[in-house]
Amino acid sequence: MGRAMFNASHAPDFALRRASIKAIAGALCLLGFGRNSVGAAPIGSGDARLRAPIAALFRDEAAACAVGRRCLAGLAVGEYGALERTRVLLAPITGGAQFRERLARQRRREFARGDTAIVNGWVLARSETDLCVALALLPRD
Amino acid sequence: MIIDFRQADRKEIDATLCIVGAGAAGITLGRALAGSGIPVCILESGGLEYDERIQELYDGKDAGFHDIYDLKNSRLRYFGGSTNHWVGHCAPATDLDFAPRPWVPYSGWPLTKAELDPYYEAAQHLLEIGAYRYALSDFPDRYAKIPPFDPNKIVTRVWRLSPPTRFGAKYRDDLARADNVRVYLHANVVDFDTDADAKRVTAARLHTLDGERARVRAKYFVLACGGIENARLLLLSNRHAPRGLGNAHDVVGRYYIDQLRVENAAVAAVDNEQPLAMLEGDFHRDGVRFSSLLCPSEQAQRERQTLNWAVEVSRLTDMHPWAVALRNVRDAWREGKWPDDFGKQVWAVISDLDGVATGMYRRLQPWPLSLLARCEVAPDPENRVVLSGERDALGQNKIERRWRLGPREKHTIRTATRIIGEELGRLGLGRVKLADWLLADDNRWPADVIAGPHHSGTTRMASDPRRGVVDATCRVHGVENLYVAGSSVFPAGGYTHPTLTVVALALRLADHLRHRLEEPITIKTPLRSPTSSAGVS
Repeated sequence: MGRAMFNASHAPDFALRRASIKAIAGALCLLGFGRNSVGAAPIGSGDARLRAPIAALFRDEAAACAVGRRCLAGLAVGEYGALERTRVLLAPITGGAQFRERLARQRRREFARGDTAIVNGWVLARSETDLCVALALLPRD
Repeated sequence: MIIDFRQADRKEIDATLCIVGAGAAGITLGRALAGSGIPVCILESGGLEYDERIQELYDGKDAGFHDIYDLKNSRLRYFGGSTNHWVGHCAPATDLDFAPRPWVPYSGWPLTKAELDPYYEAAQHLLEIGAYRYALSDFPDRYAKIPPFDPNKIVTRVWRLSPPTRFGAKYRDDLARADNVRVYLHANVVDFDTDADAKRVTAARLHTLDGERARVRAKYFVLACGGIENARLLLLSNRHAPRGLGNAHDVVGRYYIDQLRVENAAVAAVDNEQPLAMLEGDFHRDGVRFSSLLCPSEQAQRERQTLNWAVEVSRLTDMHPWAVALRNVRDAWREGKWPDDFGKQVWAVISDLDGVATGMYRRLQPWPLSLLARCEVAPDPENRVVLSGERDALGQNKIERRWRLGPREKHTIRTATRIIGEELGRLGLGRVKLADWLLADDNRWPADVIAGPHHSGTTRMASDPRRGVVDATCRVHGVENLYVAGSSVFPAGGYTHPTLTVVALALRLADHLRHRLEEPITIKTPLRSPTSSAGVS
């Protein structure tokens, strides 16, 4: 398989930025996902509480984690805007159908404006990979 | 009248118009002038059938991009030219193909598509492809069933597939019956005689493979030998123009372009075939065969700074070795498996998040479709044909083709497949996986990416003689009575196959020449709308 890629821009180059991956990890730490995150110190005690609603989106949690890890391992990041986007994405997590609808709208908007990531060749919406990255970084109980 | 030149008595031939080459352009031009009363002479190197000795005259050397179609076999040198082996895809170039595009250096024609539209319409009849309509929306029953793509990104068009018309067989009798047209077979033009300052062609010099020689004198000459030979003959005509005829600015042979066809540029995993089924395969209407295209909007080309492209949806094929990885995807899907854990995991994720293949993902059987990408090649003065040191059986320098693909082409194919992926994702139909080689940020290409073969651009059209060989009327800059017909005049090629545009331009040139011959000679004569005799039978 080829390397994983992130790139939201329309530019021909697929610039890879390891620093942005670390920014995602940093953002997740700030949001309380830090215990096992890349280079992060433990923050707070709500990791399991925050993990649960994300994990509930996936019937195959292991698959989502695997995609998230591939995103992180791919070292291929464009202008990810990690801190702001991850905060917005995760803030309203309450679980249930309402959240799924919100995510679906978000996903359609992302595809419409070309805000996609290429992961091992797959063209995925940014929020899809965000959730997988988050799940991969969250500590398990 | 059709004459075997080897058996002709007269070796000094006079005509008003001399057309060199009897392929799509030459036959169209000669036929359009049949019955006009203008004495026309058409010179064809080959006979009525394929002859290996004559075909050998097309041999040449390739450097740079490795094209699986070599110079000798990618075109045909006998009556009817390469229409004797073409497949038949027809579509007009788009409005944007004719316009200067700031993000595509050297792009832009000195005429608009609107100026060519009447000739495109007339060309439809010659190619036996019905009405001049190319939007998929012209077929409402079919259009209503395709996914509602964002028109700011994707527009749907069709190919019209010619039977394919073999111009030699189809129009031979029309030329044979015309009192004012003489077709000479086995008449190889080796170069042009000119006046001392190379501003006027006085004769075309002929050789046969048996060593006979002759000259054709005419008032006007038209080169219609194809995308490479047109440039070759100009370069060979160097008696009074050391760099070649019409080559004062070293443009002849440069800006060589072709078109790329990339099988399996990506696969689309969709949860069922229905929404995309209307885009796959051929369909028929009123005796004409069609196939569908997903093309970029003008906005998408501008915003993403791509060349022009098109994508066709089809079943995965086994044609090319570099598609092995994608074939593995297909084979695994057929068996209800994923070829790799990661694909399985991606599909599980999007099934959960997007509802794609709800209830299906555990069976792991999304519907795999292949995306075939077509792509324009960017004009580049360094892509060129030149005379090599090797000589053919007539003692003429062979051609060497030097060209390469660049980052623009790769960016275009990558962007094209990505846009399709965005739209399938937005519509909740599935996801797209790009071929691995498209992901690498380099200029490596699979060994067997197919180019056309649609040789074009080597005598490109431009108002400025420093940027082109012919002007907007197809007259060679600086040579008052020499014209060029065929794809060599294309300054930009788009993704559409060239034959329809070649025939339309030939009809336009026929009108121009008829007008010029009817009136006192002036260097520039306004073009008129096509007349009823412009090739519509």
